[in-house]
Amino acid sequence: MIRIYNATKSYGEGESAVAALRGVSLEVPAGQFVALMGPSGCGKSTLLHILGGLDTLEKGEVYLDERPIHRMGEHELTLFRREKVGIVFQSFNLLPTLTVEENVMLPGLLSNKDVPGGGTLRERTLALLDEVGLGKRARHMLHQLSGGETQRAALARALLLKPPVLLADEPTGNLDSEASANVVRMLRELGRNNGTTIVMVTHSREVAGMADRLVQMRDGKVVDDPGADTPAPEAVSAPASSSAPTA
Amino acid sequence: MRYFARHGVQTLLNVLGVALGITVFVSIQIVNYSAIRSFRASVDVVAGRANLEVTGDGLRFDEALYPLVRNHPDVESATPLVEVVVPLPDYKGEYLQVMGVDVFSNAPLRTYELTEGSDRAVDPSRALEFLSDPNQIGLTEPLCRRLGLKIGDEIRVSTPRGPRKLRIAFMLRLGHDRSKEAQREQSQGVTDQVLEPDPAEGSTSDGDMVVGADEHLTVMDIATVQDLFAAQGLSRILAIVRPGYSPDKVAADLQPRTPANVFVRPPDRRGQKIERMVGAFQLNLTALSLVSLLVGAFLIYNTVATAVVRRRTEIGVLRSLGMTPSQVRRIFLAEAMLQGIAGVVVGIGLGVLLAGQLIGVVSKTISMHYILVSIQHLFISPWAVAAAVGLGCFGVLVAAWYPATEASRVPIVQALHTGFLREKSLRHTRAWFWGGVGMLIAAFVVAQVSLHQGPAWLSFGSALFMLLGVAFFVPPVCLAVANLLRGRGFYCNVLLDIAVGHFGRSLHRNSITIAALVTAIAMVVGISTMIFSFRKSVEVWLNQSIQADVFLSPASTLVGVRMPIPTEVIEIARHAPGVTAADLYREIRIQFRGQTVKLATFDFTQAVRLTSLTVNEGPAEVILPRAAKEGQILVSESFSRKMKVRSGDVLPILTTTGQRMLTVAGTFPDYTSEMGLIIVDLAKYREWWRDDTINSIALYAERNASAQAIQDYLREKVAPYGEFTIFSNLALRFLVFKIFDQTFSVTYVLQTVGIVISALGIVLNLSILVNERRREIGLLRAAGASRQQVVRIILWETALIAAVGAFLGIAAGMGLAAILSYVINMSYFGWTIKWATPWLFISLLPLWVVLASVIAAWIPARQASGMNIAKAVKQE
Ligand SMILES: Nc1ncnc2c1ncn2[C@@H]1O[C@H](COP(=O)(O)OP(=O)(O)O)[C@@H](O)[C@H]1O
Ligand SMILES: [Mg+2]
Repeated sequence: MIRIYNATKSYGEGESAVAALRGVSLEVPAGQFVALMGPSGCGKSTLLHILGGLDTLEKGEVYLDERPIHRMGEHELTLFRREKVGIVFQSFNLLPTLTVEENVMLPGLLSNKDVPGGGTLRERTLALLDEVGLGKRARHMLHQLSGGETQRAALARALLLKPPVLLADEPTGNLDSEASANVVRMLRELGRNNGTTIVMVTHSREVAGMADRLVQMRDGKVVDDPGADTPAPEAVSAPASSSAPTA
Repeated sequence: MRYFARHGVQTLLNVLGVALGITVFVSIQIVNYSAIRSFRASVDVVAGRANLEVTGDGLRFDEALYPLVRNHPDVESATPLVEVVVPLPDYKGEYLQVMGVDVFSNAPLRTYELTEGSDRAVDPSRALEFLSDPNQIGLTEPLCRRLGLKIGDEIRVSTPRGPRKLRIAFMLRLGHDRSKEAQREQSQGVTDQVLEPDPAEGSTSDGDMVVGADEHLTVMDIATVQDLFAAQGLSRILAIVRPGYSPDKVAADLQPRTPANVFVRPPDRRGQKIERMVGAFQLNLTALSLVSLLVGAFLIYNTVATAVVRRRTEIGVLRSLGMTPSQVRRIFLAEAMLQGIAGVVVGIGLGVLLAGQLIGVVSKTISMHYILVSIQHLFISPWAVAAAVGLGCFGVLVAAWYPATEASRVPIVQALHTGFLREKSLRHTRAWFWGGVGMLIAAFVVAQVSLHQGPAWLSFGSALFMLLGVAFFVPPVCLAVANLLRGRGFYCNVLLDIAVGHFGRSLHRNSITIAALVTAIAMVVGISTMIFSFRKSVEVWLNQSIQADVFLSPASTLVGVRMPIPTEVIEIARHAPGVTAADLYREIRIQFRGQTVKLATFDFTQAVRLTSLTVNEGPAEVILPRAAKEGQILVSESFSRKMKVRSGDVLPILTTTGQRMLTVAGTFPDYTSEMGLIIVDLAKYREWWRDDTINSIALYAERNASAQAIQDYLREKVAPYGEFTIFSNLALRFLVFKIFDQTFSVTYVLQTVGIVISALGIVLNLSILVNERRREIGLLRAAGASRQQVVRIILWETALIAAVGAFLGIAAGMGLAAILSYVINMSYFGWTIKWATPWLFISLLPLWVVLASVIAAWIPARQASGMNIAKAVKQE
């Protein structure tokens, strides 16, 4: 269960400050697959980064299963990233100097811990690669893969340690519609099998349609959230900056 | 410009890299130039306005020559001069260079002026009175200032009959220096800086002013000097030839009527003599300083290449907006030039400061090995400044040209494609390898040519080719190392494996940094190994040649002044209790084939009996006594190499009693003189040179006599006769090595600067790499890497860079040492250096290099690990 209250974040200082999040509140029940949509620059990535522990909030609160992410220190955040979230970016997800297999194994090697649910790291890696259809590509290098294959490898890596949360920032942004559908289908299947909560940013209606719920953002705020149990966005939005139109 | 501001640290490092290279170059140039200018200035003062000069080349000659010169019909005026160098016993290492002048005849030739402290010139009658009073002396103002003396004070000088008190009656102004020129005292008290306006002219006389002349000069009456310092004969006769008459013709007239070792010629006021003597020494320093510049150039190459990669997008945009490739290139070149010029300006400033620090030790070295010189002014030759600017800009241009050209060739479409910075694949490693092999072959060929055909300076080309050759090996070696380590550590140490991956993928960047490191380390290892070998060779030689138990010589020998030992002292030493034998030693300088060489003399027969001398051609016990009997000479190995003289050759040697054709009986190892050394038996020397002066004595103790007791005895007994240094065998060896180390101390400064530059290179390289890999680091962090893990990856890579650099650097250093010892040394000096490897130093070096690099990399690594992850992974 993810809970976000009044998340506020801006970049830069003084006159040139840009408000990226203007008081976002959102709840995602465990196991739900949420698609996040909105115009470019409305704060989707920023929100995802906050959820993934890659960036910190200025104001507001973020909880994963009642654990306050916004209060975590450097060390806790590293552990949180290792164990609780898997992330897939739009592109350049893999390290070009490692093989596909090594890339997928990376979080396990970095955390130096056993795979949850038993089995060796290597077994888990090969099994995952099979599941995303890259079983025969384990020893390949990054430049030998197609765009779709790269994203599937990234997906495998994100899920290696069976994190409760999977974050994907436009994972299909660089793919054609067939490859997109393929990747998102896999993402949904794997998530469902492991009970993973998924938050995915996308620009594509088609892709978004495959999610359980669609959340719309604009100008750093959630504007349309049909699945919301929480009050209407306007009611909780940040006090000061909410009325100012963005340039 | 915005780019500039954003990458301030890199710009700073770059500027610093160039600046340090220039600093070393400029300081060496200034020091070299100042040494020569100071010497010339002193020559100007001594020679005055004369256009004809009679000299005995260090030996004094008969006064009877004076009327001969003065009465020559074409000579307008002439004046005799006696020069002695006298130590000041109360001031360690200080001395006076006394000119004994003839007050009546020297007026037209005078280049000094007496004052009473302020600017007031002394009236002529009082000057006369002063000059004829044997108890008064005039000193230069700078010397008085430095020693804290004023008019009216007394000062003790050493004379052959013991110390003597003189009263400072006047100040001596050298040249008719009326403009109280800007003599800014610097804190070290050494350096007034003078920007020399007209280097081509080559004279230090600016109108009437002589700048930079030795502050130790002083003037006394000629008869007083001869009497006080027991200096018989004349050192010099100065003459002015009547206007319209040729000094050369007068010289040709007079030369046949003078002894063979007395020369009549126009004065060498241009100082070619010193230039020829110290030329090789100075050239070596210059060459070494250029290596630092080379390391700096590597830095520049790296940054420009980096800027090109990082700004591919920008280049793409500019190109698509219609900018031509050559305009793109010009932008990059201009930026590099801007940094280069900043570096040059800073470097020149720092160079002047460093020169002030180096000048003392360099002038000591030159005085010890070549000729007495005292440098009080820094002469900044505009030529050196121009050369620094030219070299700096040229170096930057060359270094930046290739990457800038790359930039201009970036295909527009590719440039606009962002993402991981793609490695320009190094499929050329094979070409690099063969290029390196070619360079090494070239180094060998050039070395052979310079040894057998000349010119000597080609030997530096050999060193350059060797360094470049090893630098060419960097990419193939890195690739081999990366392939070898690749995948080895994955399951146990993923961090190392990622580091190896990074290392292998960033060869284009790392190679240059490693090449710079290799060059710097090669310099350190090369010079250290050469010095180590040299030192060992000297040690072996010392063990053979220094076997006496006690040595005695005038104290002034330590500052490079050769004073005679009074006969009384010789007798005291000879008959000291416990002494079985005394070896008398005398050395002079003579002209041979237009060059100054050293000639030494001692009793051959006795020396063979007392010590084990080495003669290359056979047993010394046979050759030396025979040489003594038949009047043959022996020459040092360096002499034989430089003059291409072999055993059996017959050489014309100029002596006081005429030119003699002397047979070379053999060659011997010697490390006392770079000029080359001729030895002749003492009896023959006295007969041919009519000179029974002795410069030092070596005493042999009886079997059970204590050397300490002999020393104590001598100290007490010879004290009344002046200042003497009395050394035990051990102390003399110690002194020899002290002088040896002093000679090379400047090279240590050069090495240090080289190391600092390459350390800067590592920091620069890593901060660039970290920047290029922002996204990869962000990804690693997102995948769960801790800050510490990121730091470790970067440090592993640094260790790899350093290790490869250290090992190749050591290899190149060995090559450089071989070239220094057997090519450059042979071409210029001809010392015999037996190879010795400083194993301990070399085995510890990689450790130090890796450790230092890892410490240097700490800052960029910490920075990298601390950057905002969200920002790092952000898609542009
Ligand atoms: N590192 C940053 N520095 C400054 N501004 C930023 C930074 N990251 C994002 N922004 C700004 O914050 C706003 C939200 O960005 P982002 O979350 O990336 O939007 P989205 O992913 O919805 O396109 C944008 O206006 C963007 O320009
Ligand atoms: Mg985004």
